[in-house]
Amino acid sequence: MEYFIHLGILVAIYAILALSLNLVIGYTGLLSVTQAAFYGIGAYATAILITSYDVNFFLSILIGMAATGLAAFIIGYVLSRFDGDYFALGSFGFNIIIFSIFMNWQELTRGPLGIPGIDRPSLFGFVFSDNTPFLVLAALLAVLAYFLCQFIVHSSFGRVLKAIREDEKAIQIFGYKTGYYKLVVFIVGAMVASVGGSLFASYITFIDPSSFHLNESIFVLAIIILGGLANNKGAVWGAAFLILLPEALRFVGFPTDIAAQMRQVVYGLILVLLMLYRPQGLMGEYKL
Amino acid sequence: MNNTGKWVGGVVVVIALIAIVVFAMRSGKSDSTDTNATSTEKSTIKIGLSLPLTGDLAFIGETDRNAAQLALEEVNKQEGLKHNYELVFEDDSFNAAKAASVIKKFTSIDKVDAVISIGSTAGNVVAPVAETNRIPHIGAGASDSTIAKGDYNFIHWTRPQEEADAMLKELQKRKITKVAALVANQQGLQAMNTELKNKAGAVGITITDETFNLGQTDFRTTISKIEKEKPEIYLLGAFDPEVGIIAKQIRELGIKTPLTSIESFALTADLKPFEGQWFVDAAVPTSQFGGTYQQKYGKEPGPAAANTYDAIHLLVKAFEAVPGDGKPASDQVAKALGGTQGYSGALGPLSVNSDGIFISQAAIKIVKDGKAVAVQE
Amino acid sequence: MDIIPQLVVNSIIAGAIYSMVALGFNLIYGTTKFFNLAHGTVAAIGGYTVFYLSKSLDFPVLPSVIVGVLFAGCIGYLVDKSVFRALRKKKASGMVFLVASLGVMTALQALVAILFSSQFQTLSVGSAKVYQVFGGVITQVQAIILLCVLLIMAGLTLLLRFTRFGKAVRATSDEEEVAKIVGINTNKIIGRVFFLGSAIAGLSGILVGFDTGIEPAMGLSLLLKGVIASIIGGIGNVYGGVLGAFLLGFIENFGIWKISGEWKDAIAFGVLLIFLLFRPQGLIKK
Repeated sequence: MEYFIHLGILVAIYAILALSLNLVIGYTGLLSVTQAAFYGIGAYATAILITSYDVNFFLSILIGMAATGLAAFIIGYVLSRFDGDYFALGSFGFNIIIFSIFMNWQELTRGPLGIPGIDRPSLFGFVFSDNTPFLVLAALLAVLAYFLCQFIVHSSFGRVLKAIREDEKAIQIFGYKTGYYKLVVFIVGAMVASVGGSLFASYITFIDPSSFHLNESIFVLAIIILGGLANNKGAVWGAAFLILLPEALRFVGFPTDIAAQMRQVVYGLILVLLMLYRPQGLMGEYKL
Repeated sequence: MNNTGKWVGGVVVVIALIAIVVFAMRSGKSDSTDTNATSTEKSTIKIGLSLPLTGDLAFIGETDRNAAQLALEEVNKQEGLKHNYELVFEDDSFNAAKAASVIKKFTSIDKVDAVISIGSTAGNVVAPVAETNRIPHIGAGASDSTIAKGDYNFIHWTRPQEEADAMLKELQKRKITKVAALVANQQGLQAMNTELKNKAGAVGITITDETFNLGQTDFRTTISKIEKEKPEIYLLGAFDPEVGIIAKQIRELGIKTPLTSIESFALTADLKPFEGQWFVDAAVPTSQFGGTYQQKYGKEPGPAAANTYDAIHLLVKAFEAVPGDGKPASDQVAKALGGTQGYSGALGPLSVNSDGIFISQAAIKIVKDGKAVAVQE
Repeated sequence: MDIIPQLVVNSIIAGAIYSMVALGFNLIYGTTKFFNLAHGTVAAIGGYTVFYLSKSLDFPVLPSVIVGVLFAGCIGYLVDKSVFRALRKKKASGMVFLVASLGVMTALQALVAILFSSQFQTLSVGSAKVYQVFGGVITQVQAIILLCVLLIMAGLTLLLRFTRFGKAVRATSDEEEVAKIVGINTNKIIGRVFFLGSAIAGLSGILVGFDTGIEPAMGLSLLLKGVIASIIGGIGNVYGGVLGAFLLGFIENFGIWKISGEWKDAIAFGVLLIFLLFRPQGLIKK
């Protein structure tokens, strides 16, 4: 049914975002709240390229990744000077600044009006206008992202990341330039997130700044904590859970007047309960 | 790898999926409770509404839902209707992804016959889907005309052009040449501001404007900044709650300059700060809808409430207008909707133009004794 | 009303509001070391309690405020007792606390919306009394906010420096494990800190309600400003938070003067970033 295909696509997109964030937080231990910004840059890049310049979707993904990579380089460079809590706050700040740019640089982004009429991807004449082919595309990209993340994590590069997470000073003694590693993983994470953004833009065919606010970053963070940090399968399960749960709650028969708010109450309670009874997340290996 | 974890996670996700499927199949078959159908002969028309019921803009969704329910009550009191009508409300939190989920649920599970969305974000997400699925869609409180593209899409929100013209005319009448505008960073208001600025120069009016983001509560410095220009009137391009806060802070700073707005004063819960001030509003008669709403809910209607109310009535009228007794074909309904001329709505006489935009007229009103009253010509 | 003095006054008013949030936040953060997203919602609860008592039940203002403050404190205490204490026992990480606090914030905010609707409400009573100060204008409520901030700051300093409770709090903030070894019942101390910090938050919500108004979602943005102020000033430090708050107020207002209003948030965070770059420990070292 259309509705479930739609949910599947959303799960795939958020899985990509969660996987990207997991690289930075789960494996490297850097609490970054900027993911929504990178997601947004990818989305806006695709949106603008498709609507104003008639660029092919797949090409726009690559250009989006480049733009996001550049932004991540600058932001990551600044952030690499911070530790722990301050890193989090700095990343937070960048998220707000980029959001402000989406909202206020009206010549480029049309500000609060958003960008409508984004075409679905087309490849050698085949257009992904039906949702089922789009689901296949999204799932494919999600699987690619998953394998990419698994590859990174199990490589020697990934081992250095985990070492940074456990004790940065220790590994610095061995001569590893941790700043370089942190920057690279930050950029990679951002570029993967931007792929999610491009998918999102082309799927909904409309984007506006409201989708890239801080709340989104917090949502993706909740996904990976719920799924279990440092666990790529967990990131995917977490995305499935947090997307499907509010939708499932739509069908619980709360009285109309308070239904929406009641769902929020239940959602909040479930988060609390999950943290109380399973703080390492659904699949957690990394017991924080 | 933690095996229990895998199991727990898997089980939870499976349960969620089963829950969705079970409930989806149940609601797909049965009707919801908003109906007083006694006969099995009449077909039931389902109208889905996508509103921001949670999040920062929840107060808009709440008031619009109230207005829709009020409209439904009036519809059910009418005699001789060909069909039964019921409403399905879903929350989109004014967010594009959630709005997409809502419209997908509406089309594939609830199988609605018409959709109303609130705001340009939801409107832009719903419009292409509505067009593909051939479901009439009215974007209430949406100012972006791209939403109205296609035969099935319509928007109902007083156009910036009409409002700007009315405002400029009144300013000229009162010989005001220096205006200060505080405008929220929101689609409809920015569109109005742009219209005003474009046309003001031609009639010798200067407008100094400042934009602010929704959710801001401290306008004191922005006001101080603008006051330096010594404007003759302050145009408040904001809705509840900002419009009330700005007015309060202007007065607290000791500024006695008159205030005006486009529609906002009529849509505020508390009109006392604007006593004696004139403003541009959607045309007469608002008082009847406002009065009925006030009676039922004990407070004034808020942003887009009147538009939602109208949208329900317009849809019902269109469904009833199609000849025949069975469920009307959606393209007929869309055509009927598109043919609306001179319908007397909560926002005055409404007609649809060829772009699918409901045109209502603007009028000058004044706040008297805490109520918006039309100015006698 | 001249512009520069008014800007100064505006900055001080904004700074005062942020200070109050920072004070409550800093107090709790010092002992628990995580970002409690629900702190802002407790402020909203304080405001709504007063709203309920004074507008629906027609209580007189001052008793309503006292009840509001105490009730907010209780809610904070209960949240700690039911959720955070259990997490502390499991030695959960800061991020788990964060997500748990996100859950609490979501649930509490929604409850407030159910009980009071999402409409924006004001607590104000009657017309505002306004004072002229050096060419700038300040209202009575704003003056009260400023006064409260100074009083609370003084009170907290005295409490932390000279009472046994204060010493226990400082010990717990510095090193919870060591404090336990020395025999301090850290859970009890933290519980009381939550009460105190949440009461302060409740008061800030109430005062904001009098100055502008309340709505269920007001907590998060208020909290963010308080957090930025705390970081700028030096996190965990009572004076630092206040100093950071006023600095933030000045930067925001003078920033708006020169740059357009919609960039206000970007300015605030831009400054934060510059601060973190050059002085990450904040203005005042702990």
